Amino acid sequence: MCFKNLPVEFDDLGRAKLKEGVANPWTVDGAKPKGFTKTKTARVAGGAVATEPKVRDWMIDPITRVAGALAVHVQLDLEKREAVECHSMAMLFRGYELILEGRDPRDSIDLTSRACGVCGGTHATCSSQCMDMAFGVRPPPMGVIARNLGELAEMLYDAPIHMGLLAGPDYSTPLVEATNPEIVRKAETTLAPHSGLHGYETIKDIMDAMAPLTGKIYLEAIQMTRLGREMVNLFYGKFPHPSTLVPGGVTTTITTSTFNEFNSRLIKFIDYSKRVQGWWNDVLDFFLECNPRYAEVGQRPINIIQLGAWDDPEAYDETYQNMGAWGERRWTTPGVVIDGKLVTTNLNQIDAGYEEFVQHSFYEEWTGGGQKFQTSPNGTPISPYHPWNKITIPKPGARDFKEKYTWDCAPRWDRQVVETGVYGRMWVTALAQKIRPSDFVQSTGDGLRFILPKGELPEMELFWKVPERLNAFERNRARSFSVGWQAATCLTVLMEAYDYWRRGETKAYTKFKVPKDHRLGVGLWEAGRGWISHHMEIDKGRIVNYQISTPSTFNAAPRDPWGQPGPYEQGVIGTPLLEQNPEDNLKGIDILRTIRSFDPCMPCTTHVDTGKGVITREVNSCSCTLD
Amino acid sequence: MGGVGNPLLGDLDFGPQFVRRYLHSGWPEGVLLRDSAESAHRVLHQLQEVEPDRVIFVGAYPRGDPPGTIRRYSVDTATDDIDLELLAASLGEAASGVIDLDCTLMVVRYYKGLPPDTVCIEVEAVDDGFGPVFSPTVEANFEPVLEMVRAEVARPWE
Repeated sequence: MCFKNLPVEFDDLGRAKLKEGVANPWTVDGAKPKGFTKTKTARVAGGAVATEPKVRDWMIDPITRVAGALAVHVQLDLEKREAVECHSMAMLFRGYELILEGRDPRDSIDLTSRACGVCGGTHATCSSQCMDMAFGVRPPPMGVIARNLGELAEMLYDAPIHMGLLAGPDYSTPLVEATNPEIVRKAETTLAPHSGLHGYETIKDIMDAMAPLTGKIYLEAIQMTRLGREMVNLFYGKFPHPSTLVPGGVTTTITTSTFNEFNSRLIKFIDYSKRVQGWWNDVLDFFLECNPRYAEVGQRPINIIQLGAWDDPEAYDETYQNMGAWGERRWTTPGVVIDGKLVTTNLNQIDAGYEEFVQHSFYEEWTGGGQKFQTSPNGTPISPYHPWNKITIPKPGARDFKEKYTWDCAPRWDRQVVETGVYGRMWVTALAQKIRPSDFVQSTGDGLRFILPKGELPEMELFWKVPERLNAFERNRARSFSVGWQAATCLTVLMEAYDYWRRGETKAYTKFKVPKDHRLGVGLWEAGRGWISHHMEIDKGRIVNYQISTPSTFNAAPRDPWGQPGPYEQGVIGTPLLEQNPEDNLKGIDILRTIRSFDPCMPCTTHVDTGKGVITREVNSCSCTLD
Repeated sequence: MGGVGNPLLGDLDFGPQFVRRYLHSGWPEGVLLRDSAESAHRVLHQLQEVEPDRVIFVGAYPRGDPPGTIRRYSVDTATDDIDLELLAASLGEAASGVIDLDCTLMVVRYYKGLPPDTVCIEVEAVDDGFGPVFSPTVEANFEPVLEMVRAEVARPWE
């Protein structure tokens, strides 16, 4: 039984049904969900306490060095020096659902790709999987492998951006000098434990290299994005908006040189991955040694949700009915972790437990008109708040923290607050121990072990251990290991590709026809930042409904109907202010480290359908200062 | 020549579509047309790869001029006047996937990706609505811009 709150139960054969005797099974008006989380120091949800002594209201708008328009409202207790309240706000409306309505479903690959300038390939992949399912077209093994390699490369592209350009500067000398000069002084004389690996002698040398624009680590990250992009292009043709993805596979002309070109770039990433975890571990351990309370920055309950990615070409049959089975064969396992315990790895259950709420979002409730689908295609009861039942009805209005304050909605799983990210991907995969045997990656139950072959640096075996806490530092630490883990997985899939190639199984797509009858499809995948889902309904060869959910839909979520804060909000509430500045000159670095540790991406904000078709350019910015 | 812009965003798609329309229009040997519908650091990488002798950027941008306006300006490749905070902001936008001509110019200037002879030809963007259709004035700008680009290609190098 994976659900504690939803009115769904399973029989001995795993078949789901609605619990009997529940009068209004999907109501949101009842008692608080089991596992209700409201961080300990949170005050009344949306309550205004700014007039109390020593409490400061603070609006950070925009949060810089994130993708898209994100603002955060924080209340700081200046005596305790910690954040006591937080509201996360997505500032722009994402209009893809409306843009897609009525179009040929094949258009969704190109159009949803535009949802993000970083994860465009992920959206396109998810969309093509939607159509695999809706059209009933199974890609040949090489088609699955080409998608896997394209998407693994996209993850490798994504990691240096966040670690080098977005989160890294928060730990750099210029920024830390402005908030905690005592740490910089200590860093000057502290030797870096992994100096032999990465070449930086002291911790300050690493922090210098993390400086925006000129730091060596920052500049190297820009160059690594080039390499990652080239790898994606080999299978996807173009990045970030692929030109080769189709229902049933890819149209890429694959040759042996495609694999060889890919491999030559992968080797460079493998060397990079050895060094990047070295300098991040050195810096994070050093900060924690300076002040153990850094472990409280961004901490929230260990509640995680992931969809998995990189399919087994022998198992992936594109059907909803078998999704639980083929999902568990992925190279990164789908799953939900609640209070640190893995409660399911079954994609059918993950999908069935998913709901979106808009009580605190600038949308109209849509459930008044009845529930279109009572069950998913395998007969599992689904909520009126499930994406297949959702209707996007924008309702702009004034911001009110007691009512509506964001364009994001509140996704929940089994009515519990969950977050998603590359660290979650690693967490679930490590706990599940379901990945297939590989020469390069192993899930141990308490971590991930991976072998990084010799390149310019010698062969290394790395182990990422599942942390005891989920906080800003552990999110970043896991992300630094993720480069190596994903590179090792990439190598595994590449070996698999060579095997199929040698057997002559080189065909990469299956022909398809667009069905004219009513169909449902879902694409469940992972972006660099975690969960990506596309739910599609088609009829008469046209899209009837299309719903996209992204990592930041989860992580930036507002309160839900029961008042549970979303993940950013929970992470900020209780975060201590460890900077040394007096209260009249606070920079907020610890709050910003919290938010950025989630790798915020408020995608899809650049294309806004307001009915007039006016497009608003993103106005977010990256800044090398804190103000 | 790089066509900078945002695909499928009305007039903002002018640069990339210009490249598509005129890719095979009898350019002299050595002239390379690139779809530069990419964010700044990616354009920088393109330039580092090609190491061009001259660069012409083509695009559309809303600057408040009357519809139909075509602007031509030389890009100052000196870097001493660049606002570093703004540059960091621009690069952050680029890393997040934003495509923006001003941002691109600032980033490629700072990292010395441009040759001294760099020119921008811009049309005034009127409609940035979603879709593959241009506003009438921007549609009418294609041929005049083509002639301007041909003139740039034909003129002696600075």
